[in-house]
Amino acid sequence: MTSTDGTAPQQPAALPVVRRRQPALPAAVEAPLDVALGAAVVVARPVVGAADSVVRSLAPVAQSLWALALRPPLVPEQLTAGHALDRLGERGRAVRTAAGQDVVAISDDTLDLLVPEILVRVLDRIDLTSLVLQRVDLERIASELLDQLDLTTVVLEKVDLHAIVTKAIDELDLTEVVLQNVDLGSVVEAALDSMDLNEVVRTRVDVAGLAEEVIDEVDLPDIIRDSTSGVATVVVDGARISAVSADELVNRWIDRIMLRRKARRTDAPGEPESMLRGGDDG
Amino acid sequence: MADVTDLPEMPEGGEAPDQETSGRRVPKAHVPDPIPTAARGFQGLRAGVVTRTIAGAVDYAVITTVTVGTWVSYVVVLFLIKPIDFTLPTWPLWVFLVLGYSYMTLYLWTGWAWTGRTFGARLMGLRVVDHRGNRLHWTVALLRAAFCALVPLLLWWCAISRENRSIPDVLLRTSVIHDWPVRAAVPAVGEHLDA
Repeated sequence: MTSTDGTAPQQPAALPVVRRRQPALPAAVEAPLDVALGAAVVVARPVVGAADSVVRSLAPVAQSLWALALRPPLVPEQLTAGHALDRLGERGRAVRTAAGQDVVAISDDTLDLLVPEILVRVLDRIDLTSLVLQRVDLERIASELLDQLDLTTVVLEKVDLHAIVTKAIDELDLTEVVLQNVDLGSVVEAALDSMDLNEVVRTRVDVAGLAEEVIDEVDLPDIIRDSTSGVATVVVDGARISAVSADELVNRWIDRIMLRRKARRTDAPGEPESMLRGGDDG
Repeated sequence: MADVTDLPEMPEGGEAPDQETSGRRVPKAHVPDPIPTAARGFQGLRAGVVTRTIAGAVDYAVITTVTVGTWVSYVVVLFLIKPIDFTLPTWPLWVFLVLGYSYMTLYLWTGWAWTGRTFGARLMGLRVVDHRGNRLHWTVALLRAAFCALVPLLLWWCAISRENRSIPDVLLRTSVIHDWPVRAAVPAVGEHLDA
């Protein structure tokens, strides 16, 4: 902490913890006052030294004379000055004790009035944040605090987690966050590796009901009929084309035997119905 | 007979425009064309002897089955009427021949006059048409049926004919052409669920 006596500029690295105030005395008064104080110190120092030497040398004699004066010989005790002084001391002690209790009570009241006022004024003159940052090991305090605190319990008891989560979800596009930040492929793969899908399906899926539903919706006999029809169609088409090839072979041989040079005229009048219509003739 | 590979191929899926191409009409747009690509080229051409023989054999098998079935039915009825005195009847051959000939004539007649096909012709993708390319008139169909049932071997004249015509074809100015029956589109598996 710095003070107002001008030492702050000598610590450029220090934070401006204490606010600066103007000097209490004007410069015209301060200079003569400093000179007077200096002269007093120069004069007073030898006087004080001499006095101290005299007192030290005369102190034992003075103590003996003072004790003799307080309790002179052959004088009754009740008439001595020492006795009177003791009586006075006792009375004074009683008064002091009583007054001390009053002073304590008065002091408490006074402090109750003064401390807040003083503290406010002190705090007004101090940048407490900078002071803490400069002087306090916050990291250590935080570490110690965290060690002593059960943060989970504190959060569960003091924080409205539902409101926070609701607010966060409302403001976040969770789908986008997950798509950008989560390796979904790895997640799914890990999940599948850790799961027994067969067991999951057996325990959670009504396989029999599902199969029954599929069978109900699929006209299985019709599908089998169509498949069979398709196979038969392929066989019949193949037989027809093979027969046509055999026709050409027979025709070629017969034409060769009959020494024909021109091709046969097989074009028939009209148009085949198979090339005119898209449907069966029944 | 023109080679199959010499004929123009039509695009798969029946997306061809509705117009005349090389004297033959192609399927209209958006109409599915179930005729295989390899078979499109000879649609409308007269069929050869092998195809027609197979179709005829199938028809003969049908009529033989029906004829024998008639005899079996007769035996069953006879057994039901007189189970105690039942003896297996025997028909002379001419009865089978007459019955078979009648069945065959009736079968060929109705088939050619009604749809232009018998079962064997349908199986082999054949159709009998007249000299204009239309279905046979009932009388023409009856004459042709009676003739073919009486002398079936005259069918094989088409192997020698330059136009793939049998004797009945020449006499009645008919033709047996490749005309594969077009099946209705089979719905996909997913359509069963949609339904």
